[in-house]
Formats: sequence, structure tokens, C-alpha cells
Amino acid sequence: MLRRDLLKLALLSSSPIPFGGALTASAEETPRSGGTLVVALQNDTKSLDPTFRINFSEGPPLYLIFNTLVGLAPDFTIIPELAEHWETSSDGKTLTLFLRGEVKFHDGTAFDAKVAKWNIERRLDEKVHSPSRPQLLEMVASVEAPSDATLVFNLKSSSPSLLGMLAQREGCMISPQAVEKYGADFGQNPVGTGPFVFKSWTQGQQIVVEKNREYWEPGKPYLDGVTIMLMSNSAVGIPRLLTRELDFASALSPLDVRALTQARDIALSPSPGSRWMSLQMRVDRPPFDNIKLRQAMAYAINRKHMVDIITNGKAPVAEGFTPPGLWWYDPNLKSYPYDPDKSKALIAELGSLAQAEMQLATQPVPIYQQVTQLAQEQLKAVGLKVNIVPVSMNDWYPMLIQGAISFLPIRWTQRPDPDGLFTYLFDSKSSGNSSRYKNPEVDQLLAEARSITDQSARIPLYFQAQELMTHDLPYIPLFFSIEFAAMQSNVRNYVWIADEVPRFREVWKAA
Amino acid sequence: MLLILAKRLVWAVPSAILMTALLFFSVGGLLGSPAGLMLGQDATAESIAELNARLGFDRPLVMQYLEWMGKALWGDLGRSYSTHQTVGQIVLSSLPVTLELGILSIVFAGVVAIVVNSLTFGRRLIRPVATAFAMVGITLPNFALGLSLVFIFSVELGWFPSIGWAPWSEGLFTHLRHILLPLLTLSAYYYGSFTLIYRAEYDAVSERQFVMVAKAKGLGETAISFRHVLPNAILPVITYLGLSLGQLMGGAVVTESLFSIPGIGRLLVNSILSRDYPVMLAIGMITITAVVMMNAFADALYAAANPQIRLE
Repeated sequence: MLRRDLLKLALLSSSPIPFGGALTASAEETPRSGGTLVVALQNDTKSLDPTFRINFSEGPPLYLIFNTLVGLAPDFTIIPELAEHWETSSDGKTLTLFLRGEVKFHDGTAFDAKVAKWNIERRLDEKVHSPSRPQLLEMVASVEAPSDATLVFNLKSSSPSLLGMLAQREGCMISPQAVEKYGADFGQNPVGTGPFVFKSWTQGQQIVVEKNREYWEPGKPYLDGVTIMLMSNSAVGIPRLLTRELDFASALSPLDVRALTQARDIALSPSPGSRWMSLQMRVDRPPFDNIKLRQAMAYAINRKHMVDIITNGKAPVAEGFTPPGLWWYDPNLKSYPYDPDKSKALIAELGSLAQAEMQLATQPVPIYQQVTQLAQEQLKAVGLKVNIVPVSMNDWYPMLIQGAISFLPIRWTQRPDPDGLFTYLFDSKSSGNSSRYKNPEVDQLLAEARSITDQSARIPLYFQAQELMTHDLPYIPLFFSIEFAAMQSNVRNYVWIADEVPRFREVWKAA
Repeated sequence: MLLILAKRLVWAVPSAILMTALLFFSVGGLLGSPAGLMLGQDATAESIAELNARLGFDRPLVMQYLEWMGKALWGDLGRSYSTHQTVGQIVLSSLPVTLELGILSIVFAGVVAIVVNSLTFGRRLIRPVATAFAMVGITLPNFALGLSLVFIFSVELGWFPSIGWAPWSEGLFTHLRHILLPLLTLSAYYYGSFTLIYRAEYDAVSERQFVMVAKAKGLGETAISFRHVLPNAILPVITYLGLSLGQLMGGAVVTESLFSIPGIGRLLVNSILSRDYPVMLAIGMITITAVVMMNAFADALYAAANPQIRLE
């Protein structure tokens, strides 16, 4: 089982296109400076102020203009960025970051621990109304800057997911002087310490950033500039790749890229397959509050068939919540297999309880529509009644949070620390636990794992928790969605990070 | 003529109030408060309630509307709920783009339709071709036409870029090169409808006595067509032109999305979907004012073309 998955992973990450386009710089090639990269982004950003970022899809321009306190390696290992190294106290309640010196903002002001402290406090400030506030408030008691290069977090309790958050939107450092100068318009005039300086933003069309000639990492960035264009969907982006007006487009489904496999100068790069697609249910409401019904549903779903149709067979089937490659992945964990006979037997046992019509919500996004249609077909085949209810994209998450939808497909992005996603989704006290799953044993396992700092000791606890959660079925796991990035063959060194948000800092263009 | 325009503009004010009220109450009533959308993935029941209270979304709709109207009349259109930019900034950057695309498309469609259908030589060849194009323009949905044009002229032939907008600062030629494909996509439908209207009127006018008199006098076919028939046949086209211009002031959403044109159409649709009321109401107000003005302009043009109207 382990070998099969490793093989799948190896197949998925190897370059499928033999023509010219190398996906990583080969040993003989030295990065060349110069050139502008034109990339396509699907959703227009609302604000370039990371304090107010709400969607993962708004990440790409932020990672160009700003640095974060720490960085992420492709497999979510935390690596140095603005902080050179860090220490956690043995009780986990103090996190100390040692910051690098000689870093300047694009407006010339210096970055130091006091500025970092200001940044964190800004996100914690009630009057600023940052969406990062609730989660940070739960963890951080106070922040101190005892010296210019030392930043100390005093935590309310051990919080292993904080470091991962400091590698994402919570850790983006902005210039206090610029905020003072621009006030509420900082979102349109962002100033950070990153490898690219903000140049212009035409709402609804493009964002332009230029090379930061005084970047603290010598020799970087390689590119002279990046233009981020808005591409409303892949039908618009693919012709642009072919006319060379775009250098890079991501969020392409396996069906979209069929048109590009024959293109001579286009290289394709599959994402690591980490975003977890599942069917979620409100397990505190009928009919989903009955575990036997949920089990019947799980036995009825043929995940392999879904993967074959939706992703052309390319996506890995999910047995649990974690894709292979992350340190908390349990290769021995299996969910309920496809067994329609067992499903029918359970349904017969349940009698009238299984006769209720289930409302399955869907959004106008192709992958969700495909998942709901296939799920409906498979559930109907065992005698369950399913009705599909369309919900608009904008209403989706609010309706979920407010409990207006009880049964839906949903896709989650992995977070750098297992405590991040598991506590958010499965802890009975979490505000993000939209399935209302309650298992005191799981709560206890998660709490214990949170309080230890030794990774090898946390693994068995997460394995146990995952096994319970998989058995209890607040979610029916389906697959890890794969998407493709397509780029001109002269684009080098594009590397996917496990959260599948494209980052272009290290990219360079060959002649 | 100016008097007509001025009178019409005065009517724009109550129309704008009525329209924005309708928009606000229908969207607000049916879709609810924007709080959940503003919070996105971080929404919780408590944070939504807190945001509703803080921004006043829990007040009755009438109160919220009156507050907006009060500020708007003084010129304060507020800030967008999504991007926090001032509404004036957002709209002012997108409006000229849509205006340009809309006006160019209608004028282009009108001129081509009228000229092609007034030509007297090569009738046997030109008429069927013109009809065929007109039929295609009316029946083919504009996203299909747009994608086909992009595929043929950008991808296969490489003659034109597929990105439909380049700022004027990059030069006239570059700008026109970029805007040509969206222009063709948008004007196709109007070319079709103008052709049908114009041709019907043209044929009717050609039967009239003064045309026979002109022929008897010995005037050439082309002269008759352009100097006598056209000015009479053009009248219904002018009315329809005004209506079409008004229609396009709301923005051509599909064309704008296809060619990544930063216009007002997409802005309007997004603002409705995300319940960004300040932007939505401002665009509604501008759209209706533009519609009223375009109709007034069409009426003025009609009066200019037809002296009989002026005397009334």
C-alpha cells in the first residue's frame, strides 16, 4: 500500500512533457536574470493588504510584495525567511524568533523586531477588524521585542500551528510608515520587504510588480517584473498561453489541459495533489446524525470511478484527510471501501430513516458540480434519495457557517501543521467545525498533541485521532484534487508548495 | 436641441432614485447582508453578527437605503465593502473603458450596416453576404463568436492579441490592435439588427414617389441611394441606436470577461454577487443616467435628421 502510493506520487510529480520544458533547473543551467513573467490569476484580489486577506487564492501577489516571518518548503517544513532561526520553550508557551538584520522596506524604512511587533499587534487590534484576529487571539497572549533582532511571542498555551501561520498571511510584514501615509488606501499601495515592488493595479485587469533592486537576498529575484493578469476561466487563459501573451496559468483541471498536451512550447506541471475533496454532512441533524446512514453512504460512493471521470484518473483517492508526503500521513489508514451490497444491507436495516430526501448543495464550479452529480448517481443506485440544490459561489461559505446547508462537497487546503486543520474542523469547540462533529476522545488527543513539541511523539496521537475521525465519518473522503499549471517552456524553477498557492519568487526565464 | 437634453437630464434624477431603490430592496431583500461574504473563510456565526451590528446591516432596509441616498446626494458615494477603495475611484477607472467600447461598437455596427446596405453596385453579391453576416451576428451568442475570433485571429493567425485592452498611453495603434476583436464581437449583434431594420425601411422608402422622380430626372443609382433614400431610411435606425447605446452602458459582461477588459459590466455583476452595495448602487445610478442621456441624444439626432420633427 505504501509502495503503491509512493509510486503514484512519483508518477504525479515527474515531468510528463518531454519537449524542451524543464520544470526545475537542471544542474548545468544557471539562472538568468531578466525578463517579465506574465501569470494568470483567477480571482481578482480584494486588497493587497495581507491584514485583510481572506481567501487563499489572493496569495500570489502578496508573496511577491511581502516577506513572511518564516517560509515554507514544498513539504511544509518551516524554513528561515525574515527570521533566521527560532526557539520554542519546553512548555511550548514561548516562541522566540531571531530576525535577520539589514532588511529594508520598499519605502526605505528599516524592518526590525519592533516593526514585527507592530504588525502582529495590528492584526490583534480590535479596531482594525482583521480576519486573522480570532485565530491569533486564541493563541497569542502578548508580543514583545526585547531587542531589534528578537521577537518573543507569549502564548496562552502550546500552539504548534502558530509557526505555520507566520509563514502565511499572518506573517506578512507591512511597513508602518506606509500605513500611516496611506491609511485605508494601503490596500491599493502596498509596501513590503519582498523581492518585488508594487507598481500598479488596474482593477479587474492586472497587477504589475517590479524587481526590488535592493532585495536583501543577493542576486535575487531573477525576474525584472511580474504582471498578474485576471483570467476569468481556463477557456480564456488557454488561448493566451498559445499566443504567448501569458507565460503561466494555474488552476487548470486535468480536462482543461488535454488541449495543451500537444502544444510544443508549453510545459505542464501537476500540483502535489494535497487539496482534500470530501462530502461534508451536519452530523448533529437528521438524517445525518445516524452513523449507520453515513456508513451506508460511504459504502455507496465509488471514489475510483469519480477520480476516473473528473480527473481523467490522475488524482489520488483519499482514504483520510492527509495526502502522502506530509509527516502526519498514515499509510495504513483506510476509509470505508466501495461496497454497494453492504450499503444496501445497512439501508434495509435502517428502514424509514433512510427514506428522507437529502439536499446536496452545489456551487457553479465545474469540479463541485461533477462531484455532486456523481455522488447523487451513486447514492441513488443504492436506494437513497438525493436532491441537488444549487448555491451561488458567494453565498457558499456564509450559508455553510450559518447552517443553511447540511450536505455538500467541500475542498480544504492543507496547513503546515496538523493541529491547524484538524482542530479547526474536528475539535468540538472550534468555530470552524461546520460539521458539528463531537468526539471527546478526539478533542483530548488533539489537545495532547498540541501541547507536545516533539514531532515523533505527536505522530501516534494524530494517527489515533485520524482513525477515529475516519471511522466516525463527519466527512466522506473522496480524493485529493489535482490541478495543473501550464507555462511556456522557457519558464524555469517553478515549484509547487503543498498549499497549492503559486509562488513565483524563485522563477527565472531562459532565453 | 439643448433644451431637449436639459429637460431629459432633469428626468434622470427621479429615475435614478427609483431604480436604485428597486435594486437595493430587491438585492438586499432577496440576498441579505454582505457580512458573511466580507468575512469569507473566517466567517463564524458570532463574527457575522458582530459585523452586521457594526456596519448597520441589521437595520431595516428602508433606513439603510435612506442613509445611502442622503450621503450620495452630497456626493459621498462611500467605500466598497470588498476593496475599501472609494466608490468614485473604482467607477471612474472603469467607466471610460466601457463607454469607449460601447460607443465604438455601436457606431461601427451602425456605419457598416448602413453603408453596406446602401451600396448599389455588386448588389447581387453583397446583399446575400451582408445578410449572412447579419444572421450570424444575431443568432451566434457573443461568447461563442468571441472565442472563435480569438481562436482564428490570435491563436492560429497571430494577427491580433487576445487581451482586449491596452491603455492609451501605449500608443494609438497598439490600443486599436487590442480593441479590435472585442469590438467585432460586440458589434456583431448590433450590425445584424441594424441591417434588418435599415433594410426594411430602405426598401419601403425606395418605393416612394420621390425616388421615382429622382430616377426619372436621371440621377445615378448611388446618388439616389445615399443622398435621398438613406436620410429617410435612417430614422428608425437612429432610435434603435439610442436604445442600444443605453443598453451597453450597463457594460457587456461576457465580452469584458472574455477579453479581460476592465470595464463596468463585470464590476456590476461582481458587486451584486458580493452584495457590495455602495458600488452596486453607484453603478446603477450611473447606468440609468447614461441611458437617459443616450436616449436624449438619439432624439436630438433624430430631430437633426428629420426637419419635419423640428418644426413641431
